[in-house]
Amino acid sequence: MKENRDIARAMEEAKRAGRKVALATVVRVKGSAYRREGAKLLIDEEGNTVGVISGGCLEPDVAEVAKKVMADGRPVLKSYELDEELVWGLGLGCPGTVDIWIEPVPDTDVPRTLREARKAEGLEGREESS
Amino acid sequence: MSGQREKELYESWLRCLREGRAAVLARLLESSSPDLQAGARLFIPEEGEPMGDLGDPSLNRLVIERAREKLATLYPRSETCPVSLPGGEQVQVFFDINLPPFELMIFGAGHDAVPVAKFALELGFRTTVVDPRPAYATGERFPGSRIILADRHSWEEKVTVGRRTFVLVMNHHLERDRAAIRFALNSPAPYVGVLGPRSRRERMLEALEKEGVRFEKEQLSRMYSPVGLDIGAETPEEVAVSILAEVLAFRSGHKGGFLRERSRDSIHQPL
Repeated sequence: MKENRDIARAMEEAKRAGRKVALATVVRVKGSAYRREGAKLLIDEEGNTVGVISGGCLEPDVAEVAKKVMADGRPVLKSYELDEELVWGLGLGCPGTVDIWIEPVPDTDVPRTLREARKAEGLEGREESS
Repeated sequence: MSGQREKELYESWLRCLREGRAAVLARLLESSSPDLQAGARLFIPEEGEPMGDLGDPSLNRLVIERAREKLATLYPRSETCPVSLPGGEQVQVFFDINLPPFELMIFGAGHDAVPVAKFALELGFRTTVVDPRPAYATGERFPGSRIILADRHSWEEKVTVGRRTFVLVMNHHLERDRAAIRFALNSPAPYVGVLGPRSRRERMLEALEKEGVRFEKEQLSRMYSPVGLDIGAETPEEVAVSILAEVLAFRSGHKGGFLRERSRDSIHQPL
């Protein structure tokens, strides 16, 4: 629950800073996997991420796909077969299939409270002039 | 859908995430029909009107109905579901569910309530402590918890219990515990844990019966007493783990117990 809030905050921050972002969400899991459906990862244009969608093995590849998604604006459904022998050889120990939906985040107008807006403009603490 | 409406939909969804309100964002992942575009979104808040369009009015209706059904259960999980349309098309829709944090409401601010509130906060619960004694129910003892200083005569007025509130009764005081059980079992709380042995619970229920208070079977089934999982807990911290483990198991629809004693199916499936 708290994770979703953190993702929402990170999305708003990115928007405020004028950075493009894509959102990756675990949408289907078969077999064993570290995270379940609904886990989210936010990726910006530079490849910075917020959130966790696996034990750390998928994030780099998802970040690469996300760059493409941001560039052409079209969502992608990516399937990862976590067969440790075949693909990773890292001894992940959680063999399973994880489907990840990676979508562009529309260029939202960040909803701000007055207080937040003031803070952003360095006006925090000053009296409002009328 | 137009860019402007996409934006509005996303903003509404973000607001629900940020404010911890219950909502579902449905996304069309795959479809057998070229007319239905993957990536289409439909946003269904628990309170308020749905927004968006999956590309077909009957699909929208089916998805809204399914989302509402999910939100009506205690702990709906995000998942991808196949949906069949009247025309025979098959689509895969991902239901992304956001829930408000569950609340743990502890009646009793004694020393053993301190680790319960502390661990519960770390697990992501909102915690509330209800006790009439200002020396015990303090922000210093319960940092991060909401404190309600109230005796049983003012609970009706000061204490709100919702359908996502788990109640713990641990006053170490027979009369206050009795009143708290009565209050909680008459509220929408799905879980009412009561500290203490079975014999104490029976005595309290008998006393309530003498006062003319009788509970329905359904109400008594929400009462968990003795509270907690059987882990041989002794110290207040251990007891807190035992209680919270039970609360989590209850929330998720799991049974508790050793995972290795489960059959080969997934450890994430409720029983």
